[in-house]
Amino acid sequence: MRQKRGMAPDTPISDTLATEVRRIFAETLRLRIEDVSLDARLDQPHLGIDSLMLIKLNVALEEAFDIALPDFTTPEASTVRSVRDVVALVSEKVASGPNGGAR
Amino acid sequence: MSSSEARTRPEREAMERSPEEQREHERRMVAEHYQHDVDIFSMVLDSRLAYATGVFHRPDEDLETAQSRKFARIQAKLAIGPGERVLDVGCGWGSNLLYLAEHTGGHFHGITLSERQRDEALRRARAAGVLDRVHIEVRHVEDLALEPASYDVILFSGSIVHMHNREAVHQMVGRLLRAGGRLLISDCYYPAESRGDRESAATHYIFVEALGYCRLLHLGEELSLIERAGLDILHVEDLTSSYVLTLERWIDNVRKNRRRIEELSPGFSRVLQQYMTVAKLSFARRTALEYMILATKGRPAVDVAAFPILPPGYEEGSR
Repeated sequence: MRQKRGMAPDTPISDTLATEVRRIFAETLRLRIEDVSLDARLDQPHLGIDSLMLIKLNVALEEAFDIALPDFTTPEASTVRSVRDVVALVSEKVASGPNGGAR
Repeated sequence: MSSSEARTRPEREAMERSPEEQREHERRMVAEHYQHDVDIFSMVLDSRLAYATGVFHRPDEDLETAQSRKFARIQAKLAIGPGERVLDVGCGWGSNLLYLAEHTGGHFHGITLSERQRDEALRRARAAGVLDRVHIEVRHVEDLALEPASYDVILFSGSIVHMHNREAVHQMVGRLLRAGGRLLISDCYYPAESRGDRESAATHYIFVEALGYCRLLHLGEELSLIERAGLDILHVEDLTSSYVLTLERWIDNVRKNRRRIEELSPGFSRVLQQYMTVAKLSFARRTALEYMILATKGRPAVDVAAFPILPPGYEEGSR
């Protein structure tokens, strides 16, 4: 268990969850999982993420974890900049229960 | 009129096809989306299965309220009298057609490209007890071979966007309407200025992968085609913000029913949520716009000056 800087200390993030998020990134973007580091930024050119890819990532993560996420492309989610931020957000939504965070 | 200027790749490809080839393309590609199980759309849309924007007065209203208001507004705009003949082009599962059949004494002809939509619309017509005034068939709009002046009303709700050959469609509308006839369109348009990326992967996804074929004109181009077919524009209203809310409700319904949708049609919940999200963001940023248009052939049957557009608290007779 590791903790992400800036998150509430009682919200641990499992390696399993981080790996699963990276796997979904890799699958959606057609990359190898090794190419999706936690520090990779969503706007980093080598990831090749356009707005459709962001939406596909959103949906794939919601589907995999049974959660609702804010759109990564809207101001509501402006703090989501890196893969690590996505992991933190998913972890937070998963912690708030099944279909957690659904509006 | 710049209908010859393509704005997107699918539009350019359509222009390279002959009209007959394009008709076949639409017949095949557009129907596909609507051939999915009606139970899926029942989980996502309102109870009448309107697959177009509702009319929201407040952002906290539910989908059913917004769609009921839209049906009532369309009824008011069209003012269908007893025995009048109505053509609903792209009637879907019969949302508008059956509402109007239940609330007016008109006679209704609906066409769709999807057998499953036709079957469901007919099933609902029977259940509503209006089958004697309802005829619904699978047909492409350009294959309608009818006498001039066959209809009092022609309706396109969320359907004209799938039709490439708009000039021919409007010329046909002009021919098929009787004097005093009304045309109503509810659909999406591009702003006239180039705004947003129309060549993006997201645009291609929604226009081709998700929905088969879409062509967004500028509002002014559509209005011009209507006028050149001999009709007068009576009323145009912007429903862009209502469409954002409608799409939000649909997306939430996809989320709530994801597992059941996947059981019926694996992969389709993703398609729905992805294309609806692309659309929601486009309309929220106003890179695409949603309008409802009312036009008349000759003297108007409805007085748009009497539409109640008033500030809050206004009382008739006050100054």
